[in-house]
Amino acid sequence: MIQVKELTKIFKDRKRGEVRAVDGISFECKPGRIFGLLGPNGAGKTTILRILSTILRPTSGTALINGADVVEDPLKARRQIGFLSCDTKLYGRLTPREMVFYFGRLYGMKEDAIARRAEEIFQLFGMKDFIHRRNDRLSSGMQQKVSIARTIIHDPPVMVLDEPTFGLDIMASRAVIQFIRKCREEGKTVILSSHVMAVAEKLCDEIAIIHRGRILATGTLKEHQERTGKEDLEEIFVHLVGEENGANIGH
Amino acid sequence: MNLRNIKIIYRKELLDSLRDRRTLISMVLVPILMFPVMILGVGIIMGLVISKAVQKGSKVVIVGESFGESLASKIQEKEGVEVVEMENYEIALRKKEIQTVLVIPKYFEESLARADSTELRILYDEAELRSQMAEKKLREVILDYRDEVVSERMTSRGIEKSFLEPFVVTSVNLASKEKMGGMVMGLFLPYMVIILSLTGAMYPAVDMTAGEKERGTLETLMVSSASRKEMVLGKFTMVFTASVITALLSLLSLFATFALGSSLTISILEDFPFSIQPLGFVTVFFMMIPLSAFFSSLLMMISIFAKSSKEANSYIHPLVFIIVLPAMVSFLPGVELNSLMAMIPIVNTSLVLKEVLMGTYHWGNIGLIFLFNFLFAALGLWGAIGLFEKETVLFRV
Ligand SMILES: Nc1ncnc2c1ncn2[C@@H]1O[C@H](COP(=O)(O)OP(=O)(O)OP(=O)(O)O)[C@@H](O)[C@H]1O
Ligand SMILES: [Mg+2]
Repeated sequence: MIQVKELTKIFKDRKRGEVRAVDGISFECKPGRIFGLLGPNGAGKTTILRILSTILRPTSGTALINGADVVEDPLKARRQIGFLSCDTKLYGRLTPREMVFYFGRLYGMKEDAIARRAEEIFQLFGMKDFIHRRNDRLSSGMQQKVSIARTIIHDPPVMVLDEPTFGLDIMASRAVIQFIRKCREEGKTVILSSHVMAVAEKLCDEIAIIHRGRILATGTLKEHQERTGKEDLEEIFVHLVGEENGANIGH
Repeated sequence: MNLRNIKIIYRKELLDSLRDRRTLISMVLVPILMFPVMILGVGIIMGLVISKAVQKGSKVVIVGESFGESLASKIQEKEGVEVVEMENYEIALRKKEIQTVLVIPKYFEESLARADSTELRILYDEAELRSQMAEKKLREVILDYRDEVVSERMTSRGIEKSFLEPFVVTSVNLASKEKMGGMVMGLFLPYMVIILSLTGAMYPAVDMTAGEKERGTLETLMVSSASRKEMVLGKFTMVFTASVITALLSLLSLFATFALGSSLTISILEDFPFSIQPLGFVTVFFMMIPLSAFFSSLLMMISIFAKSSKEANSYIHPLVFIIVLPAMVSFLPGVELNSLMAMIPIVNTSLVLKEVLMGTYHWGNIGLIFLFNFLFAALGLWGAIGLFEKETVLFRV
């Protein structure tokens, strides 16, 4: 369960002055469902997800991760989360096994619990034959599997995924999509960001379209279709963003 | 704060560093090889150059040989000296065809017989090793000859030797061997060890912070449930370890080099009789510990701020110059440790190491400096943690 309340993040940029990357956003993601943040570059998707994973602190507002406040108790919130993004790279000189054990230990798990869980994950993702090779010598598909293993070693109830299929080939992104569906089946709360319409269309139970730090519309694909009268998510997206830009010019 | 997390991070950084060739080079290889290469290398090369010069001998032109035949024959007898004949001897000297020229004035022997004083002139080239050596040899022969002449004159007039030498002066050096060796070592060893422990901390500090930002692994670490403070402390402990290992290895290597050097009787090492008591070694090492901690925290502060390894290095290079200067205070004769100096980081360590190497132990000062440097290290660490907790520093764009 994720409850986002009036979340705002302002960056002070030397050149651009104040940047409102997230501007008073509220929404809720329920367990067993996949919530998608869809928006163009610079919309604020990464910033929202970084706040949820407590890497960044919000300027105002807050979010609760299974009841743990990301501002008040970031350590507790972090333990509930598995966070995966393009910016969470692997330690090149460690092996997948060492990587996974390192994070398991940092999450406070016991050695035998880590070993059991790791075994399960390596089995599930077919990683057995490369868990003793160095991370920097793995293909990007293998690396993505290691990253996923790192993300779920502590079996978190909430998954926060920033562009989870970015830069992956068809086979690797299929594997990731399967993994995300499995998380839903297990009753985890999943939030992901994407600017690839197909991924959002295929995966998400609920989609929030965001633009310039604000949510333009939230709902299921069907609800979006009914509201805008367009079939395709891309059309819906262009329609909403166009409307917003039109409204801005009108002011 | 959770000690277990600090330990987990430290262990991982240690493993990571041991797999990194560059850390191993800066932490192990450089401190071990630095002194042998420097001292033995220079010693061996100098030895080779000198022995080559000795082997070759030196060619001397004697101008006016007929005016001083007995002197000329003594020069001819001298080992390693070859008397040659040449017209344009000054040009030949410049062209290094000969090494020295002795000019004997007209009527030299006649003036000796009259017990007059006259002048012998040696031409040589101070910038040439072989010419320098030849001049020395020539001077030896001539001075021996002069002594002979003097004693002949004295016996012919019935004067005792003590007439010219009413007394002899003997200076007795009471400095212990340790102090003599320590004096020479005290000049440059503190400087070398300080700089090496700085360089030992440099690469790991940059690699574990700015390097992680650059490689995108810092964000991965930050979503783990360790706190920022624990991350800094874990990483700091590893940087500190690297720095202490570097200092220890460089000290060991230095002493091994001297031990080996004196058994090989390398000429420049014979001039530096160096021995250190175990107490001196242990004290020097212990004094390096808080300084290493200070360097580690300082370097971490800088490289936490930097966006990339490149940026971190561009801040660290000027810092090295700033640190080199106070480290060199041990070179200055007459600068003594006092309570004011004891409070200046780096300067205090440089001076106290110099004292210890010369066999002087002011335990009060030693304790004070030990504590002061740890205080500076704590300040640096506090700054590093503060920076690491700031998202404007971690996500600088
Ligand atoms: N550390 C920072 N300092 C200053 N501005 C920032 C910082 N991080 C992000 N921004 C700005 O905040 C805005 C939102 O960025 P964000 O990365 O959240 O967008 P995004 O939706 O993830 O975009 P993309 O699809 O390109 O990943 C952008 O204008 C960005 O330039
Ligand atoms: Mg993004």
